[in-house]
Amino acid sequence: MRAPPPLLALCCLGLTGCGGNQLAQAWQLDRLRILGVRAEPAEPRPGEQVTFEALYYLPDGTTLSLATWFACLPDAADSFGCTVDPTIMDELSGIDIESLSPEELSALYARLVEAGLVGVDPWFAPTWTAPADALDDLDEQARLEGVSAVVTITAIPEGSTSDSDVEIALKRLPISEASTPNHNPEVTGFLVDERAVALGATVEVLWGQPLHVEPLLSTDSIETYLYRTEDGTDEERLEEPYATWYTEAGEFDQPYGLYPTMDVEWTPPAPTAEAGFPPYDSEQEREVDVVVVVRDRRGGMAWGQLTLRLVPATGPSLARVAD
Amino acid sequence: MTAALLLALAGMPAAARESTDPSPAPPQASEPPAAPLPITEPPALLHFVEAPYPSEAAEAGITGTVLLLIELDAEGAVTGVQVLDEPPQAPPGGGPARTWGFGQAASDAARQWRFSPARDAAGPAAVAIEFAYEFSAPPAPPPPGAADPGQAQVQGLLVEMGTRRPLDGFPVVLVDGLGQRLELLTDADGRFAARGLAPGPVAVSATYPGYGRVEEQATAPAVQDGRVQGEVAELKLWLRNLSYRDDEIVGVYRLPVEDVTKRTISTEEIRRIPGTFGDPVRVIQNLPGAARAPLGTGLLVIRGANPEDSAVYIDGIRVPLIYHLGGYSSVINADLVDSIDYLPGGYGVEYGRSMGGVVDVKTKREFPERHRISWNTDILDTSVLYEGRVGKDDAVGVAVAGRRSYIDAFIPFFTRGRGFTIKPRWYDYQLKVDALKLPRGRLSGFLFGFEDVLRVATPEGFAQGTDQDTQGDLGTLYGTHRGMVTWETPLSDRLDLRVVPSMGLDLAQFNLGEEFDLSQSQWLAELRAEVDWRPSPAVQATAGFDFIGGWYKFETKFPFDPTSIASYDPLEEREPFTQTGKGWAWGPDLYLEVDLRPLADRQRLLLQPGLRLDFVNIVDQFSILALDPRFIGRLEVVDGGSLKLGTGLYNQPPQPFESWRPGGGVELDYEWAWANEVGWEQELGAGVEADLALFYKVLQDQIVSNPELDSFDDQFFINEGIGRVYGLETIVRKAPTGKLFGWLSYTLSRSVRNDYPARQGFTGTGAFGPFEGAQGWYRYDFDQTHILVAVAGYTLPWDVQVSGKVQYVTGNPYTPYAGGVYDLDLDSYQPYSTGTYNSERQPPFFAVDLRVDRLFTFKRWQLELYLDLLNVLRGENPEFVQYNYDYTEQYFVRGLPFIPSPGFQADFEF
Repeated sequence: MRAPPPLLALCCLGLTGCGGNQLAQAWQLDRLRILGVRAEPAEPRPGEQVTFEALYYLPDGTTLSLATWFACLPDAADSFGCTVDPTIMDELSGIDIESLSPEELSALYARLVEAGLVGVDPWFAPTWTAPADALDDLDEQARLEGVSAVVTITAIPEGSTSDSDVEIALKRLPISEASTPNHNPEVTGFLVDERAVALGATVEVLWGQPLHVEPLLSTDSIETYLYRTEDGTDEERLEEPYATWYTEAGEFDQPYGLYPTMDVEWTPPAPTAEAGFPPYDSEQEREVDVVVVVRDRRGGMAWGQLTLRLVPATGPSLARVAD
Repeated sequence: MTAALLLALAGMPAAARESTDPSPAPPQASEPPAAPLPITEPPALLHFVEAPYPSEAAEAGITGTVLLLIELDAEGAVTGVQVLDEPPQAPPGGGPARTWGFGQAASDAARQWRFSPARDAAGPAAVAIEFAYEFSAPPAPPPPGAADPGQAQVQGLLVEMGTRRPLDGFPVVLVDGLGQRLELLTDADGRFAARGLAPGPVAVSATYPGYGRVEEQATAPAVQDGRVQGEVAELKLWLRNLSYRDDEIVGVYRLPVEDVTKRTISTEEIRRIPGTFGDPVRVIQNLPGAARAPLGTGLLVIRGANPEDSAVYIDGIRVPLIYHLGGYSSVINADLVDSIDYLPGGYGVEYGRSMGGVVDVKTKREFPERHRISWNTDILDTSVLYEGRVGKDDAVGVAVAGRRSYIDAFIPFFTRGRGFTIKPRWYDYQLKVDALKLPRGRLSGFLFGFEDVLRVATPEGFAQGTDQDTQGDLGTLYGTHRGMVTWETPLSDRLDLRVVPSMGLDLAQFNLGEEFDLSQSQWLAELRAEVDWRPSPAVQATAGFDFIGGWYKFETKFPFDPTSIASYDPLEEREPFTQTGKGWAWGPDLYLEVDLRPLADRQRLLLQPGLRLDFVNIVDQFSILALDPRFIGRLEVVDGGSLKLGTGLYNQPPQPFESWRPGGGVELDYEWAWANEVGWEQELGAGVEADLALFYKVLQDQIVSNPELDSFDDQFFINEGIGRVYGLETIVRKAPTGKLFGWLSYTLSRSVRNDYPARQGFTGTGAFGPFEGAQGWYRYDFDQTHILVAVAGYTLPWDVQVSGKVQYVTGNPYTPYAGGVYDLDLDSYQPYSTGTYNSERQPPFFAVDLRVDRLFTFKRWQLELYLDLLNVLRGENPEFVQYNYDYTEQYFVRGLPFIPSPGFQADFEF
């Protein structure tokens, strides 16, 4: 004799758990985030200088206090990024920067550079020269594959009062002698409900009207490259990029899009407080930023932003580019 | 001549007994002081061999009655016969009184009998019963020319409603038109026949204590010259049992068991426990020492041991899994389960290769005299069971069962819109055949198996994460098939042999999309052979051979080299990786156990030393050898109160996935535990008993991942972990001997581990994640300090039963995280902890479950309707911690909500 097991329990096993939860989703833009970091060139050779650029998201009314950039080779990093000499960090903790003279400040900066600091946003643009000896210990085949240096970015918002306000991110930087080094992809615009829209454009959308959005990439974004396999055979491979989507409001049917179908469906926020992220008054206009970050899986990165202006449901039924 | 006597002793209705009704004799003053325990089901004689009438007595016309004391083991086999009383008699012509050989003849015959197992509240029990064997002169042949008693006028059959079981020895009353009253007793087939009635209408009625009353009208034909004129009136009377569930208490004696803590639960109790869904195996999680499994799954965590450290057996043969997907039902039909032995620790040397607890599922050894079909359908699956006896003289007992799920057809309705579809599917089957009428010994065959499949399908274009190699459908399959034969035979009065050979196949497969593929299969041969030797009443020795061996094969396919996980770089180019392996493995263990009962009262003191020799050889990988010395002692200190203790080593070989590396040369040894236990058992009367045990277990050489693994040249695992488990368990239990049953169980325990005691401060990272070496001791994942379970059930009139369960359990430990570092290449956050591993605890679990069931009896079948009400207080019990994407927010995944779960079962007998 056996009673039927509760079906819900089985569903719980297969899904994320019983009962709803209100945990923030990765695609929700509501706090300081580092959404992307791009190196130029994307895959430097040893000794080559690299500049970095970050895509920060800051909610309205928030400004970035500073963001520090450290770079290192992999043997000086762990799963959390570059490991900075703890004695330097101890020294820093007791310093009142406001009280330092220009000379002391310069000396401190020199110490930090020695420890791996490569930039401080918004004052010193992050720049790093890939060590000339980065591949010296590798054989010829391994030099083609190279090593992944690590860059750690720590972003602190203005008025930060706790560690949870700070965003830390790490990014790898391949250094190699590859015959077909990687290049960053480029987002040139969007397809919104199959209509091309330029980067940074504003699109009017009716409350309640879902949209299909897709990033448009430049023709050379998806590269063909050579990979030498372990048995020494050169193999031609094609990049398989993917897109990660973010939004300030509303929600996506899925937060990712894999090449060649990188489109997602975006649904405007619900007008009531019970559902959606976050709820808004559907009788008022509202602008919502949607961001896409494209990764080529080889370290290259690109991004684009689209502004959606939500208008009451009395206008045209199709999305249109605002004048 | 003696059959009625024996049947009467075996619990037949009193009305079936003849005037020589011999009830069990009261215990003699000189009997061992074993305290009577309530026996819910007395032994019934299954195989009877009549004693030859002593020729000298037959010639002299001497009759007599012999009183025998027959000892039965828990399986109903006769283990000893003693003549208690054989009154001397004088010969008819005069002379001194003497015995006439009745005692010897009766005891010789009794040694060949076989009984169904006696049962107490804990399940099958060893008992000693008294039999009065009557020798009476054979009936004289009828004299030539005796008068024909004449043909019956009214005849019929009296059967029990629902079961259609013929009612033997029940009175049937017939009243004819003249008011003449005739009372008859039904025969063994439930039939009756009346003659001598006045022609015309006849009222036929039957009733019996515990039963209702039935009355039918018939017309008696006239009789002339002893011959019926016309048609004989034929009737079928259906008599309703007023309560099919009342348990009968019979005074029989129980012999002690030989394990420190062995808890046997009868299926009758299991069916009435809410939250187990009627599945026998799930009841274990309500017993002391067993941790609460998350989300009601069947994970076996016994006395703080890892789930894989506890062993599950079916009829003594080890099986890898006992539950279907999700753990909601066991892989064997509930109606085939006779009892379950739950040994949380301190068990003897017959069980090996495990450091944790043991669960031994015993299948039924009895088969109903009538054919029985049980059909169970619910929203998950359907199972059907047939059991009965077939062949000449019903000499073969057969049980066939099968189950098939169809939940995969319904789940998509619940997962629609979530981007994927879950499709679990399973089946199981069992075939048991038992030779019931062998002159000696026992022979049975058992074939069983199961297969579970789970598929998670994603719709076209749906991104399942960002990794290009984890896209596509996920599928898992695992299955087990076994065939076994059990042969038990006495080799002499003092020597018994038991041999159980088995063969089987285990399968496991996993695939994810096109890139991940794992498959494994192994053919297994197992043999368990035991010889019991009883050189004297004070000594019993058991020598055993426990072999497992077979051929394994596996194939793995990954889109990358798995050892690169040690220095995982998401930007690294990937190359497909395949690995195959196959070979032989075997482990012939030997064991010897001696039961010493040195006191004159054999039941008072038991000393049981044992030794097990463990050996395992994975060909080309490793060979290891170990010894398990164990000792168990039990002393009855006061009437009904026993002190028990146990200590011993428990060696466990590496798990299969730990036992192989490319090129061979695995450098692993046994994991082992030194387990100690001391406790007290006390019978409190009226079916109530209490049990308290203190336990302390030291874990050594535990297998942990190698933190320095960097390539296939390194060992994957090492024997460096240690652990400690200690605590106390107690249970007060009221057996289901009346309308009330239940227990109160409490466990206080602590289970801790230290994976790398020799590497404190080491901060490397291994292939299996960040190394926690600096932490030292940490709480085990299922360390639950307090586990309190109260279960109670009550039988109401009209076959209604209600039961309830209250459960309070300390929350499981978890590791707190305070945030994460965003890995821009992985597109995910790497969490960092503010505390150490498992340094926090989830809130406690508290739940109340209720159950009510009602049995309906119709003429030809029975229907049981039941309703389980789970979590009636709607407690938001946490099961897991879930974090948001950057580990700055946390949420406790709740346990099961309030769930009303109805069900039914229909039983047919024919």
